[in-house]
Amino acid sequence: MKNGHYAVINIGASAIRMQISEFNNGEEKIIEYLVNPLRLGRDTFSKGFITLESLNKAVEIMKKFGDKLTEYDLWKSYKAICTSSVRDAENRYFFIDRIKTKTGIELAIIDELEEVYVKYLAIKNDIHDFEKYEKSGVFLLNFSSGNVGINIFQNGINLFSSVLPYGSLRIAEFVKNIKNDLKYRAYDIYAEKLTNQIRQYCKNITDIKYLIGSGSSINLLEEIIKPTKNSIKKIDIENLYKNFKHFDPKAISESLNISDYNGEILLPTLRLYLSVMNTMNVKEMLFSKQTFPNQLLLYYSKKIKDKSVKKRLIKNFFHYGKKYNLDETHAKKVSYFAIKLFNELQEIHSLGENEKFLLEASAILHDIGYYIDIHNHHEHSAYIINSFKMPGYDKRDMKLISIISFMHREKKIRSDDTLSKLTPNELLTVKKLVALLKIADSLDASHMQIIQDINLSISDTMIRITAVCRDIPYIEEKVFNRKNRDFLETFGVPITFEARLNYE
Amino acid sequence: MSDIFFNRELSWLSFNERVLKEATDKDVPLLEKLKYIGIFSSNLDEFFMIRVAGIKDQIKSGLNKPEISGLYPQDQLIKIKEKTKSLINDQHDIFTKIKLECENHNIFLKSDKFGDFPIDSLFYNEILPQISPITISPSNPFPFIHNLNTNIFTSIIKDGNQYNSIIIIPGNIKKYYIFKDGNFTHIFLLEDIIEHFLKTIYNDSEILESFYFRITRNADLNFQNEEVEDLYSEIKNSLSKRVTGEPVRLELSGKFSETSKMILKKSFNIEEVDIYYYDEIIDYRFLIGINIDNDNLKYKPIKYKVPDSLKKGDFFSIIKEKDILMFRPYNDFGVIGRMIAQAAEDPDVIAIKMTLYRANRDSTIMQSLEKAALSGKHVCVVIELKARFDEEKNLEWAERLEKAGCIVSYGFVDLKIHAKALLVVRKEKGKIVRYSHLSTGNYNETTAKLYTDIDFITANDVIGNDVVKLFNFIMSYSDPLKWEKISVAPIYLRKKIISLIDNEIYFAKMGKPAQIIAKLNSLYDKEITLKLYEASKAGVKIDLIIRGITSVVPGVKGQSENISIKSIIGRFLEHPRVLFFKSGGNGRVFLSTADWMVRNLDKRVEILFEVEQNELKNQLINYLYMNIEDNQKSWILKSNGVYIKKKSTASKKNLQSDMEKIVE
Repeated sequence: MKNGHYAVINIGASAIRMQISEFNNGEEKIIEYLVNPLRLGRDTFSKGFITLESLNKAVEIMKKFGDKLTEYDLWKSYKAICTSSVRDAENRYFFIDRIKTKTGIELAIIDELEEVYVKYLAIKNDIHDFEKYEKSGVFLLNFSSGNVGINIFQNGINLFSSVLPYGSLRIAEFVKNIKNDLKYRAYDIYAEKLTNQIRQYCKNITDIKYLIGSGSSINLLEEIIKPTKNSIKKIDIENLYKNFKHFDPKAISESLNISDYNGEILLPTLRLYLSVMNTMNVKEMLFSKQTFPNQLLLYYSKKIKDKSVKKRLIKNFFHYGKKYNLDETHAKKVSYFAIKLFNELQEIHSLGENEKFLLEASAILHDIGYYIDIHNHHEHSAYIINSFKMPGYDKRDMKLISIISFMHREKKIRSDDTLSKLTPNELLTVKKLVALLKIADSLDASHMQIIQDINLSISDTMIRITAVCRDIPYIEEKVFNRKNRDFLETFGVPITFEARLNYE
Repeated sequence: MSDIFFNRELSWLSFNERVLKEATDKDVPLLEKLKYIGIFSSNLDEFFMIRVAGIKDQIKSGLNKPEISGLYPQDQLIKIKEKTKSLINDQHDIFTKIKLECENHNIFLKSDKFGDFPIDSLFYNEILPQISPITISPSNPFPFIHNLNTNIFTSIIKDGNQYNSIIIIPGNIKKYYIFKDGNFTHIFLLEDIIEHFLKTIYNDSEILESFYFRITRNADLNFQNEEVEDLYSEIKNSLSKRVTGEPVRLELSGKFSETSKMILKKSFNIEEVDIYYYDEIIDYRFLIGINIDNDNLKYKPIKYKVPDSLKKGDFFSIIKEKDILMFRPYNDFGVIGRMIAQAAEDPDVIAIKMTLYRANRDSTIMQSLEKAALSGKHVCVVIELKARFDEEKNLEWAERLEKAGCIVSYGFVDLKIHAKALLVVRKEKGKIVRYSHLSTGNYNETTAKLYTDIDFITANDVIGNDVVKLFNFIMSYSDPLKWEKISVAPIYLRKKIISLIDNEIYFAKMGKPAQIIAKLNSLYDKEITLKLYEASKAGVKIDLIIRGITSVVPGVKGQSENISIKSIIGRFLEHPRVLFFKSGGNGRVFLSTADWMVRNLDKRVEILFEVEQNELKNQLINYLYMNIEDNQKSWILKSNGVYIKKKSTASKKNLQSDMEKIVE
């Protein structure tokens, strides 16, 4: 990444934060970190919109942050994002427009998945030996004022990933009219609901041995429990909860010498952590002290990269495939042929690595719709793929994979609504990839892996595939000759097929 | 009264007494002695405007609680009266003595040789047009009398009727006139000239009596209202309150009838306890600025030194090499001005930030900041509009700086910003480098020559980062975050001091070296006093060098026998706050802007920071020992509250003149 200065502004549920960092030869130095409390979440989570009064306060804070952008000349090197308190507000676009008009700062709403992915990446970057935890099973719990972000990994597979509306401020708002003595019962129900959801998605939750916490709640726990290492013991959380279970927020803040706000959110925070720890059956939680603005800054300045993203995504595609009884052998075979075609025909299609990945993903997932119905399975494949939540993977790319998968059984690319929304470049890419996928898919049309491998001979007038087979590929040849038309129409060159039995 | 805490007001009067007694020190040059008499008056005026006014407010509000020494508000007023009466008598006697001494040098203070000089021309051309006699009648009610202006009350008979009249003398009129006749210098006081021409003023009347009077008003501006949204406008509006504040003291001089006194008492709604009587001059403040031409009778001018390291090269590369410590006024404070001027012109400087508590009107520092902002740099100035008696000047600066494009912040409604910090941010080869200047003294080029203070300049990144956080906090850019090297009031500073004293107690109990040296302007705080007693009882040796007031009673067996307190009053006002804690070994040294008082630790933004570089640390330890060893300007506080000055004749140690010699 380039040397220089970058700023990130994060509008969260309980505060607006800004971080300015200097990057020099790969090293990050935090130049400034600013926090201004503003409980936008209080508005959004209780009323559903942000009041004008809060908006005006946000404007004042953002003006000051604008001064900082001027001071360090960062108007072209900043990213300002908002999370759930703005994302979930009815008047979010008015909010964003007003901030832009009054301060010049352009806000973007961070997508839930992107949020959870940024947090995952940053923690991966921050926690020593993370790969070890990731392999044997790790539960990443980002518990902040607005939401709970969850990422569960095992053997390099993302078992569960979601942002759930259980943030401490959200819960505190929810229970504010309940008698103090009875609030703990509401926390119990909330915690139970959360853990039920987790169990539903991750049946073997007790196999996950490591819990890593992050988010603003960690700072609070750290301030009170004062752990000597980067881990907090369940017994400490339990004792704290037991001691203060029946206290009102004011009494908590006075007894523990914490802010009134922290006094208000402490009990729901403790209860949720306890619930997760009990569900997982772990006795301690590791934690990362990274702030969200710091994580965002590292991410947007490209200081942290997800080097194994493609490998992990492929694993995840197969993991999802299992849920839908995907013919994994067929998927692997088609994927193999597709990549081989892609690599050999580079001169003709001129596509890059990202497109290669789109093809590989489509080759794995194109038949996932069988789970719903074999007829029109391509249509089912398209919406199933579209519903996948893959942290770290661009939504747009996922959309393209679903379109390519849809097209693998269509004779021609239709100009329907979805396709008309593609840019001319994207449309061309889809056409090229569909042409290749159709060829690859036809080469295992029987799903019996009769064709073991292929060789290509390429000239300006013809491309010939010689298939090395363990038997005569009747179905493959027939399907090939039906599906090779797209190839000709897309690349202007015919592609032919010849089978050769594999014997010596 | 308790033997655990001294009374704050009496402790302050005792400090002012020490100031006055400087005018009796034989080592102080004759004309310099006059200044101390003037400063005494000025201090006393402020004391009445703020402290006495505060006690009166307390009585008025029905809050009849004793303060920590056990005195109730009414008792305090009686004791203040008693002490003040004695002090103003002393002041008169000391002035009379000095006046006589001056005559030996052909200087005639309060001269009455009007006939030898063109006083009549002066009176008719310059004075008469400025003064306005008002005769009180049903159509001319008692006029408004301004705070601290001396006026003349007369009773006259005109056309067979008796009237009372007041000559209003404006506050900004010149109070004395110096005339020279060969080797003789005559100083005529305005009031004497007016009195001399009284018959001319009332030419058609018979004057039955005439005397001087002066009223002191409550001048404390209170900005505790949380609803205040615009501090700038609020303070601008409030300044007028100072002019019209409730009267708290009436001073009379000359011969007056009981009837006239009653008229004034009634008009000002003042009681006998608030009236003070003078034989001659009421207001000696003019002596502070009087400039009589005789260098032999004054202090030798000081040679302001620039540290060798700062003489050549550019400031920033020098500061980057090592931290710098400077002692005002022995070191040239102009260095800071030049550093800011260099920053204003330096293309690599991207931002300059500073706090402003009291700046002088023609401040070159402020001019440099204006210049920097005009040239497009990011300049932030935190102006404390509530700096008592400097509010108007600070408002003027705020307007000027804003006009130039500076970001001007006024701090908090309920917290005064007393921290002195300057931050210069440079971009050097793509990296942000911060230069911090932290000081115990104001960015005021005038007082920098009159007050002793310590300046610390560093390019230390951790301190720079803390200073950034300090500015972000006081400019409301961010909630206060954790500071690494700086402790900031009202958040952490008190805790830090208590924990430092606790450490010494711990070391003493462990049998390790335990010692505290604290040089402060004032120490008046219940919690810290009790903590110091605890330390004394644990065996910690405590030397306190406290110029002004203190609540600590030293040398009481079983309570404070390990505590000694001294006060140094000299040519320059001792202003630094320096702390030393033995810490079981080589010791730790801190500089601070904070006195150990409730107002500083709980109601102001103040800073305390450690000086860690050995060379500088040793300089400060040496400086503190020079304070302890001073035997020429030191007053030792006894457990009965009396300060004793014993001058050693054998081995003379004078902190200020010795510092002047050793500072490079």
